[in-house]
Amino acid sequence: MADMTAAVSNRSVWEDRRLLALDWAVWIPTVLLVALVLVCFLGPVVFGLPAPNVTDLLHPRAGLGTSGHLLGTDELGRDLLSRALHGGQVSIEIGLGSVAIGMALGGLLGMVSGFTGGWVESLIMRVLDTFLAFPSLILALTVAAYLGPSEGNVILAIAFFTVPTFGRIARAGTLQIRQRDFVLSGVLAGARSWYLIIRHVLPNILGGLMTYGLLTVGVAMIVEASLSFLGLGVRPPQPSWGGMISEGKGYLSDAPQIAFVPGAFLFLFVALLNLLGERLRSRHAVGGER
Amino acid sequence: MLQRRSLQALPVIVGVSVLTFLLLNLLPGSIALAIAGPGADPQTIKAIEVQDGLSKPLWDRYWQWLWHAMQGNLGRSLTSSESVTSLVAHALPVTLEVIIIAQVVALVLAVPAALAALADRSGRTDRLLGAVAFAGVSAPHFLWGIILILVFSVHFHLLPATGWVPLTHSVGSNLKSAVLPATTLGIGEFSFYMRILRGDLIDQLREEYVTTARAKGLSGSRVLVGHVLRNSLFSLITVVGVNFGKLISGAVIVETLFALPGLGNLLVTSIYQRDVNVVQGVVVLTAVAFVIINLAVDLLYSTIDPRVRYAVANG
Amino acid sequence: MSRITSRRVSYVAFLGAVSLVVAACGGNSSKSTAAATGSTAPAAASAPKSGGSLSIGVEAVWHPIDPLDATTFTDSDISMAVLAPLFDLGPGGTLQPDLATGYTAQNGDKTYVITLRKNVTFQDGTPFDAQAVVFNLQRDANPANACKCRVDLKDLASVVATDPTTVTVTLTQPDSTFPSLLAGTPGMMASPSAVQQEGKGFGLHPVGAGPFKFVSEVANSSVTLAKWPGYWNAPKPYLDSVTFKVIPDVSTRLASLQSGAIQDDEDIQPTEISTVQSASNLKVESLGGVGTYFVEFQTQRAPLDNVLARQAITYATDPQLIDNALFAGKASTGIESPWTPQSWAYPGASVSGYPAYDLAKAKQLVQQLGGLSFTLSIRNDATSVAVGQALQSEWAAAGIKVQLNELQNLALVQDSQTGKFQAMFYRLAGSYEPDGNVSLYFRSGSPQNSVGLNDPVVNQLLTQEREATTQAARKPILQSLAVQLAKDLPEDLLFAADWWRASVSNLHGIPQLANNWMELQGAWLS
Repeated sequence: MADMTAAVSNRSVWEDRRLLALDWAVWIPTVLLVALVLVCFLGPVVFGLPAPNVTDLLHPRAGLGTSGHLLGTDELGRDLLSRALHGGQVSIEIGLGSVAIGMALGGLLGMVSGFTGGWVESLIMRVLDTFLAFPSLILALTVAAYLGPSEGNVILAIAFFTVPTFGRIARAGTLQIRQRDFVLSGVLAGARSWYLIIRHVLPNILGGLMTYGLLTVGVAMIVEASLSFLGLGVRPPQPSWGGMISEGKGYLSDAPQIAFVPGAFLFLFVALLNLLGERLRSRHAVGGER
Repeated sequence: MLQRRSLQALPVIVGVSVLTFLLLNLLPGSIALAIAGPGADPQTIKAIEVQDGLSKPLWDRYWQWLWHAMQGNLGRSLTSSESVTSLVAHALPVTLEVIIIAQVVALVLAVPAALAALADRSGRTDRLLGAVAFAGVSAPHFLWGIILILVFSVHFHLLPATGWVPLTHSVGSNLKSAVLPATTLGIGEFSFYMRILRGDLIDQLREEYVTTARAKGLSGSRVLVGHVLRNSLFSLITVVGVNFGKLISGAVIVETLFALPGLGNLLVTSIYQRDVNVVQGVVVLTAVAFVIINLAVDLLYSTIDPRVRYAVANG
Repeated sequence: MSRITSRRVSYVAFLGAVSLVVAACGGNSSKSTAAATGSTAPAAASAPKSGGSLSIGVEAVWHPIDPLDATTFTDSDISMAVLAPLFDLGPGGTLQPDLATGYTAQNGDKTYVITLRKNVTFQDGTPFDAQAVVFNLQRDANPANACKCRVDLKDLASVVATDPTTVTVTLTQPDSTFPSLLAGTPGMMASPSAVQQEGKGFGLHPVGAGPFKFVSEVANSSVTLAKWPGYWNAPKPYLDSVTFKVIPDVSTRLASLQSGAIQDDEDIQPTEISTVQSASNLKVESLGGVGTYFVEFQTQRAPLDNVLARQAITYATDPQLIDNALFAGKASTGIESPWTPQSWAYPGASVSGYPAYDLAKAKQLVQQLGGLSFTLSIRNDATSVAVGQALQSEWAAAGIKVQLNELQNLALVQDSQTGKFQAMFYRLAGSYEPDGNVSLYFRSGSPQNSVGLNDPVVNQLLTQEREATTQAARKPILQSLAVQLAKDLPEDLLFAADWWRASVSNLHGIPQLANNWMELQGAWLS
C-alpha cells in the first residue's frame, strides 16, 4: 500500500490479523462459536446421539440427566440434546444464509446508490424503502404462508428484510467516504466509479458491514424464532431452536426444559455472536488509524 | 428539497400498496370462503363474492381501492364491516404508545449507559453493561415477554399479564398495562442502541478533530458531549428512524403475546382471516408513516452533518 | 375441512393459537346428569349474590354480534348474553325454555308450533313477540343476507305468527332435529327495530332480549357488557358487568388467570390442568365434548382408496399412548364411532369391526400392500403439530411412511372442501344432535363429504335415522351406522374433543350447556 490511500485502506479489520490474534476478546468467542458449530454439525454422530425425530411416547418430558437423555426429552419423548444440536444446524444455516444474501445484495445496492447519486440513487433507495416500509414480519408471514413453511423459504423471507438495512448502512458509509479528499481526488483524476468503489469504498465500509452482518446473523436467528412463534417456522418434525422454544412454550409449568434447552443454546450462540461483533467493531476503529 | 423528497415518497407508497395487494390475493384459500366461514354452502359463498365485488378482476379491484383510498376511504372490514379507518384509529394509539415508550425508555437508558461504558472503557462497568446489552438482543421478544409475565404477573402480581386500559380511562392503569409490553419491546432496542452508540463514540474519539480539540485545550467532557456525542447521534438517528418500521414487527409479536388491541394484532388477525381490506389499509398507512419518518431522518441528518447537507442538496 | 360445521370453531386456529378443542356439548357424564335446569350451578350451595364484574379470557376474536355473522365460540358466548336464544340446550341435548317456553311437533315433524314467553321486551323497548321471531327467522333464512347459519334453515318453508305469542314453522321435509337448531344461532333473537334502524351496522350496536346490554368494544381486543335491569328473569343477572377479552396465546391466557387479569379462562390446555388444580384460588371444570379428533382419509384417492391401507393405519394408531404423552391421560379415548360418551348415540368404547390398535396386524397389512406412504395434512397450531408428529412416529413403527403437510387453517379448509388431501388430522366441533356428526360428511353427494364416501348402505341408514322420530327408534339405526362406518373406515378416530374451563374458585352459576356455550344470567361471584 504505497499510494496515498494506504492509511485509510488499512482500516479494514481483516488486514489486522496480528493484533486480532492477540485479542482474547476476539478469539475466545470465535473459538467458542466454531466449537458450537462443530458440536452442532458433528456432535450427533461423534457422541452417537439418538436420531432427533425418534419419539418415545412412553417416556415423554423426561427431566435433565435422565439416563440416555442427558438434557431430558420433549413432549413426544424425543432426545432434547439431539434435537437441540440438529436444530442448531438449521438455525445456523438460516442465520448465515439469510445474512449472506442480504449483505451481498444490500451492500452492493447501497454502495452503488451512495456513490453514483442522481436517479440511480433515487431509484435504488425508493425500492429499498418500499421493502423497508413493508413491516418485515408481515412480509415474512405472507411469504411463508404463500410458499409453505420450509428452511429455504424462511431464509428467503428473512433475507428480504435485511437487504434494505444493509443498503442504508452501506449508503450512509459511502456518502461519508465519498466526501474524503482521496476519493474526490480520484474522481477528479478521472478514475472509474467501480474502481473507486472496490478500491476505496468497499474496504472502508466492509468492516462496518461485516460487524453489522455478524450482529444480523443473531437477529435473523431470532426472527426465525418469532416466525415459529406465529406458527410459520420450518416444517415439523424438523427441529430448529426457535421452533423448539415455541413448541415447549405450552409445557412451561411441568417441563420447562423443553423450551429452555433450545432457548439456552440460542441465547449462548447469539450472545457470542454479539460479543464478537461488538469487539470487531471497536477493533475496526483501533485498526483504522494507527 | 422537502418537496422533491415528498414526491419521491409517492412511488414507495404505491409500490407497497401493489405489493400488499398482490401478496394477499396470491395466498391460497378463497377470500369469500374465509368470510363465509367453514362449512358454508356454495350459494352463500357466491352471494358474498358478488356482495363484496370479489369476483371482479384483480386490477379492477386495485384501481377501485386506490381511487377510494385517495379520497380517504379505505373501505370496510370484510369480517366485521367496521370501517378500516376507524379500526386503525382505535388500534394506532395503542401501538404508538407502546412503541414510543419502548423507544424513549431504550434511548434514555442507552445514551448514559453508552457514556458510562465509554468512561470506564474495558473496565468493570463497561463489561457489565456490555453483558446486559448482549443478553438483551440474544433472545427473541416472546421469550423475554414470557419471562417478564412469569416474574411480574404470575409470581409477584405487580402488573397485569394481559389487556389494555386506554389512556382516556385512567392514566395510571394505562401506564400499568403498557409497562410489560413496552419493556419487552424496549429490551432489544436498548441493547441495540447502546452498542451502536458506544461503538460509534469510540470511532469518533479516534478522529482527528478530537485530538485537535483536545490539543486546543478543550476539556474531555466538553469534547465528548459537544462534538463526539453530536456526531455519534448521526448514526444513531439512522438506526432509530429505521427502527420505527422494525418495531411494527416487534409489535406484532408483543401485541399477540400480551393481547393488546394494537395495529400489529389487527394486522395478524386480518392476515389470518384474509381480511384484505384491513391488511391493505394498515400496511399502506404504516408505509406512509414510515416514509414520513424517513424524510424527517434525512432532514435531521443534514442538520447534524454539514457534509451530508451538501451532498443531499446536490445529489 | 368442511368438518367444522358447528360454526364456532375454526377462526380460533386462524390466530395460530394453540388447540381450541372444538365445540359442542358439554360435561362429562356424571356432571351432565346433575345440571338439569339450564341455569343452576352445581357448586352454588349458598344463595347467589348480586354485584361484581367478570372478565373472561377467550381465544378467538368475535364477529359482529349478529346471528348472520356468528361463527366462533366467542360469537356465541356474547350472543347468549346480549341476544339470548329461544331455547337452551341442556345436558345430552335436552331442550330447555329460554325466550320460548315450549313447542309441539305436528304433521310428522314437518310443522312446529312454538309458544313464546309473555311480557318480554328487547333492550330498546321493542316488544318480543311472534312478529319478532318471524322477522328473525326470515332474516336468517334469506339467501341475500348470507347468514352463516343458513344451512340450518335450508328446509324452512314458511314461518307465520299465529297469535302474539305463537309461531308456526313449516318445513319442506320432516326433521326431528329442527327445534334443537333454535337453541343455536338461528334461535338468537335480535331486536327487529334495531336491525331496521342499523341495517348492516347492527352487529356493532347489538340489541337483544338477553341479560346483558352491549356497552362497547375495542376491535380484536375486548367487548364490555353491562347488566340490563329490564331482563325478564329478575333478579338475574347477578353480575353488574362482563368483559370478554381476547387472549389468543394459551400460556398468556393462563398467566392472566393466575395474575387476576381475568377470572375465567374458557379453554385451557390439558397439560395445564395440574397447574390450575394446584392453585388454591382456582378451579377447573371438564366440559366434555360431542366432537371428535380424527384422521380422515380421502377414499377416492390412491393409496388410501384401498380399505386395507386405511385399516393398516388405524391398526397402527394407539390413541391412549398419544393421550398419555401429550394430554396427561386426560383426553377421552375409547372413541370408535363419530359419537362420544356425551352423546346419547354413543355405541360404547368398542364398535364391532373397528380396527383397534394392533401393531402386528398393521405390520402384516403394510407388508401385504408392499409398503405404504402418504401425506398427512395438519393445521399449524401447537396441538395439531404435536399430535401429527406423534401419529407419524406411531405409524412409522408399522412401516408406514408419512410426510407432514403443515397448513394455515384457511388453506386446510380449502384443501378439504376440494378433496385435495390424502389424509388430514382434524377435529369436528360436533353436534349434540347425532345426525350432525354424520349426515353432512358421509352421505353421497353432500358438499361436505370431503372423504368421498359413496356407500348405499350408509345413505340408507342415514335416511332411516332421520325419518325415525324417537330416540329409542333411532339408536339401533345409529348403532348399525357405526358398524358400517367401521367397515368403510373413512376416518381413524382418536379421542373426544374435550374442553376444560378454568376459573377463580369464587365464580359460580355458569351451567354446562350441551353446546358448551356460556350462559351468564345466573353467574355470580362470592
